[in-house]
Amino acid sequence: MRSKTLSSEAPAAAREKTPGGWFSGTLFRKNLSRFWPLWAVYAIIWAVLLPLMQYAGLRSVGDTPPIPAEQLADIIRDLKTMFLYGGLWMSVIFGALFAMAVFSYLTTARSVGLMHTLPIRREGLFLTNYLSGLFLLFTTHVVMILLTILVDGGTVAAAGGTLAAEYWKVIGIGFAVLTLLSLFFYSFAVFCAQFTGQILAVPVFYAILNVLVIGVDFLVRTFASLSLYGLDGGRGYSGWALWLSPAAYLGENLRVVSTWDTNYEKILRYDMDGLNAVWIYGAAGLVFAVLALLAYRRRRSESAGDTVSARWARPVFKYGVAVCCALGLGQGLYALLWSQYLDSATSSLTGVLGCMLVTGLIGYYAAEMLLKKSFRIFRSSWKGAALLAVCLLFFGVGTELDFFGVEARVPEAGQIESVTYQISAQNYIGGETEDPARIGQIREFHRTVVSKKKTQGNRARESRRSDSYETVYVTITYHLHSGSLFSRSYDLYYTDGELDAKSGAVGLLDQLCSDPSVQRDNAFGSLAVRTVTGGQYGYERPDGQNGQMTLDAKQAQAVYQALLEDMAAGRFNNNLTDAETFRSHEIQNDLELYLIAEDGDSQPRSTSRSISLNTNCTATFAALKELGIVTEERPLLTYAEYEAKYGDADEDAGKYYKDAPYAATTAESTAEYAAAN
Amino acid sequence: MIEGKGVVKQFDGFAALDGATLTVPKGSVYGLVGPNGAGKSTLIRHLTGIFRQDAGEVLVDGEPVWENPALKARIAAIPDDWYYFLQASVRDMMRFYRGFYPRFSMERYEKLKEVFSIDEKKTIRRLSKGMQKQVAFWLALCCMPDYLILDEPVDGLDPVMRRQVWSLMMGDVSERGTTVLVSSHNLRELEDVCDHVGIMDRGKVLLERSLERLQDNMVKLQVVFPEGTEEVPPELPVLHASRVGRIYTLILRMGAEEAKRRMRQYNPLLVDAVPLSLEEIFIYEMGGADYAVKNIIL
Repeated sequence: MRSKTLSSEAPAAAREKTPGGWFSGTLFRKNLSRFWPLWAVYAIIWAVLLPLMQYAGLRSVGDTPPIPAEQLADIIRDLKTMFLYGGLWMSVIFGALFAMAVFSYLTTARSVGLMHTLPIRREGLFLTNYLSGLFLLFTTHVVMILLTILVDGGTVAAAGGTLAAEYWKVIGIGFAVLTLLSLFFYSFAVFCAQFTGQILAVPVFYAILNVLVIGVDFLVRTFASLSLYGLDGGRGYSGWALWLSPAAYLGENLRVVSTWDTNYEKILRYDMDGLNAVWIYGAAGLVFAVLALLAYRRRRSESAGDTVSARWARPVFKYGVAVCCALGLGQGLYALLWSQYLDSATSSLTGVLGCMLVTGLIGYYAAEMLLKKSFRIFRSSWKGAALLAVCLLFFGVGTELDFFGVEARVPEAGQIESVTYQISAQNYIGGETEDPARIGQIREFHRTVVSKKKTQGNRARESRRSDSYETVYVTITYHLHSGSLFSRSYDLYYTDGELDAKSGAVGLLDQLCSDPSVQRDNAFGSLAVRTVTGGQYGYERPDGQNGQMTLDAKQAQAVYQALLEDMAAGRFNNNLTDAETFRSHEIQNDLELYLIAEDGDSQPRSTSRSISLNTNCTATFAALKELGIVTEERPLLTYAEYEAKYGDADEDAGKYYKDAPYAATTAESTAEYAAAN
Repeated sequence: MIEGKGVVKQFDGFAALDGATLTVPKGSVYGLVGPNGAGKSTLIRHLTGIFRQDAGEVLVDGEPVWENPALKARIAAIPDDWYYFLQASVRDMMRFYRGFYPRFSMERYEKLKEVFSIDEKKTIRRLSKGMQKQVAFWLALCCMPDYLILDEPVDGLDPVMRRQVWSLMMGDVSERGTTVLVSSHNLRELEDVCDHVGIMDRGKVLLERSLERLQDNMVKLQVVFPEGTEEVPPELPVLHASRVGRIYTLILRMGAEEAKRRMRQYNPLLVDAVPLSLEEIFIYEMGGADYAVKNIIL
């Protein structure tokens, strides 16, 4: 049988194009026509966030006729907010969706068969698909920004001047931010898509990898806090870990910062903060695009449908899932079963490791099932499970025995930029210092504490059964020049006699609490006080009701000077003591001062500080009495006196450590207090 | 010419292709047959540039197929499960193919429209499976390929359309010298169109030759031995023997003349040589590869 179509001739060879370049217009157009619904959703959301909200803002009717300059200031503020927050989260979500769309053909054998039969190189396929996704993202940004300009144009023209110039600058920066953020997250998602043959695994991998490093960092720290002395899982993070967690880093650092006037009445300007990271991540986006291309070139077509498409990545996935399950679910299970033993001194290594082994093996076998797409994997994969168990045991025991010297590590002085410290006993003293002498004091205390690990461990277990010791909770965070934080926390168990041993850990801590500069920092922090504008004094009226007395600027200034005098004499230490002594010396009256002060590089601003007095603060008492603030009707009362007079004053005051007898204050200072009253 | 030389492909340790070697002469119609799981589709995916072999060579006209767009532009393939875009109509897919295949002929497209009688504006997924297959042929033939590689191509087509499709392909072979490689389980159909046959099993091509030589190399004899001869003489190289009454049917791996000559020494009352069908050749060849039809009583 002959067909009439047999007479058809192919076009002359001379007219044939050579196929297989780096780009296919046909595929590009096909992608645009196939994925326009996704583009439409993206465009509609941006249309609402930018031009429509701008339009609604401009059209809102107020009581007075609109002033273009004020309207434009609002527009600029809203644009900055939308570009940063909207840009970030829209890029995070739609970057993944567009990557899933244009590379979805890799996830079924049928579609990958068609695409890879076509006369075009793998590079051409990748670039065409990659660029079509990017084109859909970028064109949306261009169109929406043009529409926004169209909406705002009249107001910009009417306002003119520097505001108009700022508007154009914000538009330019905003476009760059949207472009770079979407470039990064889209490229990152495309990179993730190269490692799986399951469409739904793309967003899962993408989401996990966006926060994986900081998550593992957190889990390792939590585990370390269970087994290593001084490590507190909940505090701080590694700077590099946050950088390697793009969505987390940008979510944390990308923000609109408002600058207030000195009286905190009006916001002077809004600044887009964290833009440097956007430029860096934008560049990283290009790197991910190149890596994705390299991965695509090596990708096997037959991996369509596989959870992990690259052979070398399969063990990484399997053991990665197992370790994450061990660290995350294992510790969760331990916390569920033994919630009362969650510190390094009392935790059970056997319990933690047992939980980690169980959940680690569950994760291992679950990952193996996903990889093999079968439930029958136990017989063939027991060796890997055994290896995992051995590694977890080695890791657990190694951490417990501190193979890597983590517990004993105290940063070198040269590495430290500043130190933040918090000392919580009967009272609280905290602050941040860059003073080398004080940093030296803190480092000496830290070394001493580390050397007493065994003693402290024994005391921690003892104190579960009896109240033999006073406790002070100390947190030290070293801010290193490298940008990372090094944090340690200790519950110190001590007896009253140890306070006198000046070279002991608690003795060193007491010295630190008595340091005048520490006391000043505790009260005023890093504030440079320009002037004291007023204050408030709280007291108990004879009828038992609360009374308030307002201090004028002159009175407040005098009280402030007296406070500085007491601090210079180191009279504010009423921290490391027993509860009874604390209550008989700590003043329950409120004293608040209003200040104009500078904090770091910021402009002077108004703020306030509450001051906790104790019976040693003789200069302040004298000033308060001399100024007529403290009188018989408005007496200063310690917590003990208040209780004697009115009943329980404050259940919270000194409630933590009630029994250890410690007389920190001298009889002389107590007598001065009595005289002041 | 299509060549596969010692092609090896492993999937998670399983050798889907284990040194497969085949040669498809230019202008021939080559039937690739084999049991399920023999590796036919895997081999075809190598020939169309989808898979990359672990070892060996896959060549067309002496050039490797992998990442060779100029060569792939001359190859059209129809897999057993042809893919089309979800919302695409025939016309959409035509535009897509036309954009990739430089020799795509609109003139042929228009002519074939009358042959296939399918509404080109209709979404392909709304067509029946057979009609979808017709669309695949329609577009593949419009690419004006030098090589047409087909995996189970006529499954789902009605008998008339099967004949129509084969006719179109045979026309291309005769007029344009198109080389056709076709994998199918329908051996009766292949016998009508193929001039060369390759038999695959367990990742290897067990044998390949022209259909004529294949049939010359194996014969079916119907023999009636004289009284007293109750068994087939054991010195005869019999692949398969069966008996109905006094008539023995013997399959021997040799030519018809040679078989008759050797049989004469036993003074048979009747010797008749019958040519084997491709299906019979396949069955008896595969019987040698432990793939015989087993007589199982359930």
